[in-house]
Amino acid sequence: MEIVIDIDDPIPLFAQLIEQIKHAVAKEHLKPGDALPSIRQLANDLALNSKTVAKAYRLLERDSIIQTKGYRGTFIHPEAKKNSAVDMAAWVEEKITHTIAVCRDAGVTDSEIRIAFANVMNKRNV
Amino acid sequence: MLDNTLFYVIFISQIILLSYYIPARFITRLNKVITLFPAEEYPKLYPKGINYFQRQKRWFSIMNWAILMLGFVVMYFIHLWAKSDNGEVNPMFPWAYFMLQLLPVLLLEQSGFKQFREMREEDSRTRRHAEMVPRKLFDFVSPGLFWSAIMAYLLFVLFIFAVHDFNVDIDGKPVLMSLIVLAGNIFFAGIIVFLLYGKKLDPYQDNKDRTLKIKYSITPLMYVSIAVSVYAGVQVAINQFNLDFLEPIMMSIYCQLITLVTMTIQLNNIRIEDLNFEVYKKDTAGN
Repeated sequence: MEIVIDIDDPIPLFAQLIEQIKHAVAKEHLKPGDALPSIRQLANDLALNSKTVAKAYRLLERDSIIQTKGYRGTFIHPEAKKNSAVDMAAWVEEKITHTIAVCRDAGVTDSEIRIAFANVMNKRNV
Repeated sequence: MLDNTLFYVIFISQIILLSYYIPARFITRLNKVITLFPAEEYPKLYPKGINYFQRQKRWFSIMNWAILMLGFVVMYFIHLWAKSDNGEVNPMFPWAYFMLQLLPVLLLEQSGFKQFREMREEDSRTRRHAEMVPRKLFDFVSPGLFWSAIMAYLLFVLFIFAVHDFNVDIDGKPVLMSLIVLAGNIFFAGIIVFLLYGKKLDPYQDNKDRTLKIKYSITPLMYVSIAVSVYAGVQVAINQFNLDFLEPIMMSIYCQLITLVTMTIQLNNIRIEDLNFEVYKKDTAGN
């Protein structure tokens, strides 16, 4: 299975990687238990910074699309197909919309919400 | 005198093999590429232009001829020195000459790296492709060959320690030699890791061709690793049994063997006809 990324695409490179791996899982081009290339191999093959690939793998692991088994490598998660259908971006947007609506109902202004949001995001341990 | 005659025969073989036969095969291959894949149709293959390619080929040829001639001159002087030095040939002669013989290949290799760098800089494609399959060592080399290389090293270590009554002094010869051969093997391992996971040097290279290249780069390294262990063991035996007259002969055989293995495995198995040169065509968008 081949992966293609476009460096001129406005979508960030790590997001392109995530999207294509999820798509390959959904189309069963990648099946549960399939081994994936190492971060270093994929980064070198795509001429990308290894941090970009690492970030994509980290987010895919968080979403249980892939799983890392120590030195044995990275594999497609047994529940990957089901989990790849979950749209985390839509989920987080829904949560934030709800929170903002609650704040507005309480009379908080948009600029106060923005400042509060920025403050929370800037706190490293949150 | 008989030993020296044997050495001269083997040294002539070294001169001809490494400075005539192998370079001639390289030149034939380069000429074939130029003829079958001309710069007008395959411009991406010649990022520094066809003249640079031709110039490198000419220099390669000239240097090999010069080293070939020098080989016979060196042999004449070896003959003279051997006469005045109790008939013994310095074992480092074949090694020093071997290093010189490798020089044109190394320069050609360096020129190849420069051309690959130029290719990468000129590559304006925005879309990049990669196979989502991990490359594993045993996809490219048989486990038997790999374990043979490991066994050869372990047997060498066992042999050298046995010969020196299992002396484990940190500055003793067995420990030192074991570490030197180990360092060589670690160097080979580094090259293998680079081949498997390292940067793709040729941005246009077909994945199938890359696989072929990796396979026939790793396999010779395994054979060389075995040869290094065997040769180190032979050296120990030569010193142990006072067979010093064999040293230059074995050194020359060793140099020829490792070159023959590395170069011919690649030249015989990576055939021009099997490679995909369409990727270097002018109109190949690649996007």
